[in-house]
Amino acid sequence: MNPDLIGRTLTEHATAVDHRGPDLGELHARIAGVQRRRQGLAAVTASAALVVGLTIGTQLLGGSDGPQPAPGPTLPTGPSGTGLPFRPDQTEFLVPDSAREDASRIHLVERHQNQPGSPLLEVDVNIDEDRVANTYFCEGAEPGLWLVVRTPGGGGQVSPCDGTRDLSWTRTLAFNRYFARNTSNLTPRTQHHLKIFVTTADGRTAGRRELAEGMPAETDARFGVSISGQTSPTVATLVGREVSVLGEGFDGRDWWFTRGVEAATGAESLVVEIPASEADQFVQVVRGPEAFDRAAEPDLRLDGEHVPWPPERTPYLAFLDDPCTVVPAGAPHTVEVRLPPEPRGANWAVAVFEAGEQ
Amino acid sequence: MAEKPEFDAFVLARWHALLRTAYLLTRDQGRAEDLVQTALTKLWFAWDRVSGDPEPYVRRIITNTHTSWWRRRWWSERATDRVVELAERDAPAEETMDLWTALGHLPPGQRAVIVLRYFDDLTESETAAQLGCSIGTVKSQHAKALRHLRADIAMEENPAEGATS
Repeated sequence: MNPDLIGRTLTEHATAVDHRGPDLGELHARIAGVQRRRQGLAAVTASAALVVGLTIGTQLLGGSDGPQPAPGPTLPTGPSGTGLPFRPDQTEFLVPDSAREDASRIHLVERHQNQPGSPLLEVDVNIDEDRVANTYFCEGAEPGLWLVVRTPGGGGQVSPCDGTRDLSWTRTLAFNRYFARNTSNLTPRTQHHLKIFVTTADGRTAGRRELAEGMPAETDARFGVSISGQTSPTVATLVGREVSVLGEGFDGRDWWFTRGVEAATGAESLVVEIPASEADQFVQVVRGPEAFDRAAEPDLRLDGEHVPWPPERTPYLAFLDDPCTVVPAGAPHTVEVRLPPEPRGANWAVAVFEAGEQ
Repeated sequence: MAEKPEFDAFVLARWHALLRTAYLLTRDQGRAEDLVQTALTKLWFAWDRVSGDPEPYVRRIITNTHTSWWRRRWWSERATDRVVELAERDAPAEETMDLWTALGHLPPGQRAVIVLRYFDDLTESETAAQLGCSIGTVKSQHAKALRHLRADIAMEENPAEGATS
């Protein structure tokens, strides 16, 4: 039995699932119903225990002072201690300068490239760092070629070769991927086996089997993965996402995380006043995990002007999944983020960074 | 009902992924949604006790609940109040249809192993952890499932041979 055929069959049918929902209201109603039934059961259990207890007490002790009723099932009574708290107003915190003492620089961990002519690259990577950013690249490819990455646990990605490039051998690093979260398919402090190959199959429509079958016998493409890492403590958690104190930009400057502002729960916008500063600052919109895979587009405005996103030309292009902008030094500025109504319950924030040494 | 915003965030973020796995187990959109909602309801009550990533926990509830449903078959004639519109797509190849049909004949434990191994791409040890069984059980269920699939497809391709074997 061909494993690829099984995988392809399952994938094809799984993609036929209707992608509506989730209906949180319906789910909440269901939970409330189960909770009511449990509470009713608890009351009945407690009443029955009380009756039995009183009866036994009366019989054994010869009086009406029976034992206490047996406790019913324990029910959740309060909000989760791990959830993001309800915020009636936007909240802000500042990162103390002392946090910079423990910062470490971002460095290239590993870089792997295919053998000349080979369409397949399989590598084991060990990641000891706390934060990881990785770039899959494919250069010099013939038109129509797609790059396929498969990671353990069913993860992976397919992208056109002409849409990727390797930037990691220069002093480059992704802003929000570094400061706010790791890349989606490599987990810090873990060993990974990566299978990377090029294919002539159409990556937009092909199933797993077609992708593998479309692997050419040889290729001119140079492709692989660059992995960079940073071992540096988390100084803050912003809408559930860990933020490191230090990042580096494509321009070679250090960027220090100085301030985080979380939007009020359910707010339509987030406004941050940026005082005049001697150094350039950088503002990054941060979305909570609940909005990771949602087509939600926040509107970032600097001094009332919409910041085009994605920008036509920027040194940060291809790394950032939410709007960001450099805020020039020398004058106060107002940053506003108009937040999308969907997904409901999503949390939003901005992270403010300050330029350091070149 | 107590507010659990992080639970809601988890549901919003992972609903579709959970639904796809549930669909492969149940092979029915309505039942898949019911299965995921049932699992998430159980997760809600356990939310404060779950440490770390809740997804393996809820996936385990999904596979276990599906197995118990299958045993009880209480849902077999359930009515649904809405018609589900599946996304349009090309008809799968005939060999794929045969395999899909054969997958539907597998008992729930074997089907779960196949889905976890070949769709979710889990290792044997990860599958064992997900199902709450030993690696040996995963291996034996896997082997039996493949044997059943081969036999089913062989019978489909050659009914006469299958009938006499």
